[in-house]
Amino acid sequence: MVFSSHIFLFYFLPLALALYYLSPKGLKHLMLTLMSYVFYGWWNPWFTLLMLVSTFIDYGCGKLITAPGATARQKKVGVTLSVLSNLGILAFFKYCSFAVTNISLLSQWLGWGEVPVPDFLYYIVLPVGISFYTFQSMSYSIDLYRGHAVPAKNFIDFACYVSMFPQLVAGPIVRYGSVADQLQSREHTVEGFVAGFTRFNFGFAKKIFLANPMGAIADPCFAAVDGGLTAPAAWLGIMAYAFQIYFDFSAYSDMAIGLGRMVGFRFPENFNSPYKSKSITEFWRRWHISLSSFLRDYLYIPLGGNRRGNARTYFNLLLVMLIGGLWHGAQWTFVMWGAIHGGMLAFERMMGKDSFYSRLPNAVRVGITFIIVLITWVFFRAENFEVATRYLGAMFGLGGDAPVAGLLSGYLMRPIDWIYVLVCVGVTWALPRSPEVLEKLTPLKVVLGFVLLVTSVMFMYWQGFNPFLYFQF
Amino acid sequence: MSTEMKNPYDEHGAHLDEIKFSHRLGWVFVIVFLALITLPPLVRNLSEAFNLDPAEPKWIAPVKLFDFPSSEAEDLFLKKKSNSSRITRTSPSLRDHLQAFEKGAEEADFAGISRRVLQQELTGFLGEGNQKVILGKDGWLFYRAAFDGLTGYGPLNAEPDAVTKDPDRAEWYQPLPVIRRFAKQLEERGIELILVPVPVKPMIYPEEISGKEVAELPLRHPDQLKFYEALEEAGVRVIDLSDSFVKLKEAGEQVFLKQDTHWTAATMQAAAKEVAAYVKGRPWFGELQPDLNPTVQTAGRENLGDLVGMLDLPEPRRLYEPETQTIEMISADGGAAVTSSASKSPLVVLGDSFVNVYDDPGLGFAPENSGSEEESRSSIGAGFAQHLAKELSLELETHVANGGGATAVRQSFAKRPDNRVREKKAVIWVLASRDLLLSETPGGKASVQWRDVTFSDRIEEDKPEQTLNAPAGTITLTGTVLERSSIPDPKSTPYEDALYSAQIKVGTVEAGKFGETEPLLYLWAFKKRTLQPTANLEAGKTYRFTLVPWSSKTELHTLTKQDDLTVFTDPWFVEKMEEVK
Repeated sequence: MVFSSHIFLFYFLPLALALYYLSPKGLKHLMLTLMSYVFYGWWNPWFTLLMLVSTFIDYGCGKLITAPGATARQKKVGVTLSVLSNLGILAFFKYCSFAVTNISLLSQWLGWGEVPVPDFLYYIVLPVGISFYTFQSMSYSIDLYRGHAVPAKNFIDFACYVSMFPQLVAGPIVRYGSVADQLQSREHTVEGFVAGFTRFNFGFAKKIFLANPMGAIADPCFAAVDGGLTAPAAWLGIMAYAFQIYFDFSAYSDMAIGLGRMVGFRFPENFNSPYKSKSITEFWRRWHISLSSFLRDYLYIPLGGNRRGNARTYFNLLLVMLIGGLWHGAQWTFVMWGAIHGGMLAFERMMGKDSFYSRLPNAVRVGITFIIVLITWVFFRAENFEVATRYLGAMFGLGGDAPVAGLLSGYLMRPIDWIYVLVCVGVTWALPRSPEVLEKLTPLKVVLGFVLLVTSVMFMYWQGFNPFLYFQF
Repeated sequence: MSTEMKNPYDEHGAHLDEIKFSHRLGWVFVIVFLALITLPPLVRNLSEAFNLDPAEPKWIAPVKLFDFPSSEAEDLFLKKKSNSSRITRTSPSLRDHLQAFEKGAEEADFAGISRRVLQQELTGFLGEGNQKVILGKDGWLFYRAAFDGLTGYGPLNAEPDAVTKDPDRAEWYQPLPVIRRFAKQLEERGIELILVPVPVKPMIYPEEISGKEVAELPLRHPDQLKFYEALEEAGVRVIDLSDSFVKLKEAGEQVFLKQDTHWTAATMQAAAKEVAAYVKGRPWFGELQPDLNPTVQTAGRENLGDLVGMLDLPEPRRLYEPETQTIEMISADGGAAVTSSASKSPLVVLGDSFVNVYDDPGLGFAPENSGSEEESRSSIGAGFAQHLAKELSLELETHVANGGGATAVRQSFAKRPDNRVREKKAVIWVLASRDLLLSETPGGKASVQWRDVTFSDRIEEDKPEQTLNAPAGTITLTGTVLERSSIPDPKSTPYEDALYSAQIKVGTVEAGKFGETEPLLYLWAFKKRTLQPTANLEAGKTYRFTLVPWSSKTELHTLTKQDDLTVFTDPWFVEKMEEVK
């Protein structure tokens, strides 16, 4: 189920809220869990079984880790089992086809012929949001192991944490430690509910008015025939994609945070105006914060972080970003995207804080960082390297020689599209981020939220089905 | 370990807000929000519940959710990728049921009204089209699929796959190998394939989208000519009309209707002449005996255009005026319609709505006050096939389906008895060139499907087909559904009405004489984009059918038929049906 859909807004949400608030305190988590399973099962009812298995395993591991008198070895077994099972599920459903395909290609390239693997391994479908909930579920046992959290009171509380529909399929990745106290007790207030739906309304409007129109510009650019894309159209296309993915994902986070707030939870923020970053290092402190901090705490630091000398630090940065890229999707383009970001992180660290670059004016640094990010988005968006290189070629003037290029660029340069782009530019660089806008929640902002909700619904019907981009990961 | 612990990740923790309104006002806001998300569906479902027709009970939307399909049921909508999800997609019916329920819920009146009102303003004030229509300059409208076909991957390069694409999307086949195989099948039967890809509007009028004059017209996809060459190499004769269209434009003719995807009547007639000239030049043409002495009747007709229809405006005439065309209706001696029953003609025309636009009254050029539903479906007689027949002085066998030019029409022809097929000299296949150019994603959106077809090996004896004179309603029988064709989502098709096919195993013949044991049936899939009760036929279930010969339902012959079954008997049309419990 998609937040920006008729079924969610007008059937699921009212029903979920009614059942949640009508349930007695002791049953609220059960009700939230059941509704979350309905929400998740809407894509494919069988996927809920997978989530349930993952939840059972991690709950069991948590029990093992926190059992009275548990030895260090027992705890280690618990956390290892949890990590291996979650990564195993992820590996099978997300990376198996990729691995088999690449092994097969390598084998053919080496002249060894076809690798005898069952055919179905090539066609495993990816359960929606699996990358998010396996990470969340795994964080429970890791946090317990590290002593960063207390165990869930019962299985339902834990299942509620893993499956919670507001952030289940596209984050923010809520680590167990950050909501453990809220699972035990949290406040339900009228003011909190209002703050929640106002945040939801703003997020919804961001998706409908900013992200989706940008997608409509980016899509034909990436689908353009070889030679069919002029340099200005290519830059417009990638800029539109950069806005699309930012507003799409941050809209989802706004809606998730708002929905969480409506049922009393406070989820961590996931974005902090990433395109205002003056370096790639800063970008990763502002973009998809819940993923970057997860990777930092559970991967980069255990690898040694920056404590084992420069070379090891650079290696760690690169490795973490490669894995971060692969986390997004089992495709070499994502690995490339991660590699460029990792390389840039290492390069910036190598240059140090007193480099020539750091003495440039802020606006120039923001501009340079944005251009680097744009180039990396090409790999993120492209279906394969061929499309990515062709697109990059077009950006730098090696396209646009086909007669149809004029047709596409003429279509894309319509005034309405420029208005959309300029609005996105203004919202990105001139306005504060949504939590800041809603920091002081005045009646006017709540009413504005209502207006945005109503108009967004009208545009939602007009735009048709338009799922969130991060559902794919 | 303590039982409570503070959040260790507070550095990126939850945002605290400062509330600037009273508790009471907060309650008012909550009530407004809840009203906004509950009242619209509540009002819709209550009004539906009160308006239920007791004679034809149907469920209101929320109850439909629990009306699960049986485990034997086939997917209602088009077949998905069969190999995409062997592990997890074990219950496609349930999943599709949920999706169908969601679609049903989205059909709420308030959703449609919102969309249409908004479209009216967006079109009027901002010049915005929608997902199907691009608004060009000076009142020109363009079908988005035609634009996508021209600027996208094209016919030779398969669109790359990616993990980010829906794994359950319908299987896509490239047109080139499919057409090559079709040409080979025809060649084996001694038939020549003449392909007439009709140029699409942006190829001739690109400046009406881009605002810039194009140095060299027609504007072709970079691979278009290479594609035609590859077809020629495979023995397919390709008549590319693009250059002729440009000449017409340069001569001051309007080549396409401004508000419609199709050509003007004059362009169509010129195209018919060009194709006829080519056909007359074929070596076998001299052997054919002219059997048509056509008469021509001229009439002025007007139509708002299918693209205006696709904009789905509540008040289209506030923004658009109908376009007038002078059409020439062709009839045989005595005024009989041409091409309606010429199943023994040596020439066959396969085609999509470009063939139909001035023949099928459903496409807008019907005379006003056409009378009954049956009358309003009778053909106009001014289409491409009639004009080609006139030029050749030959009656033609036609297989035409709006939106089905790629596969449905070939399927229809392939079902003809083998001895009848082998009597043909040539197949003239007229279809929008966008069907050839579209790649997987935009092709899927435009419901274009390329599939191989299987030719029938049935031999027909020289006797009238079916019991042509059987009065309607006299054959009533029960039958169990063996298989059924899938149907597209009516909201996604360029046509409003469609039929589909099913094969049944006959149980008891209750009225009339019926000799077949496993007949092929045609049923209504949707009318005016609304699924009909007959669309829900489920494999394995038994129904009572009232049948009439398909050949007697000539008024339905131009409709799109979803028929992916390899059943080669003469079809029957289902007038009525009810489930036998």
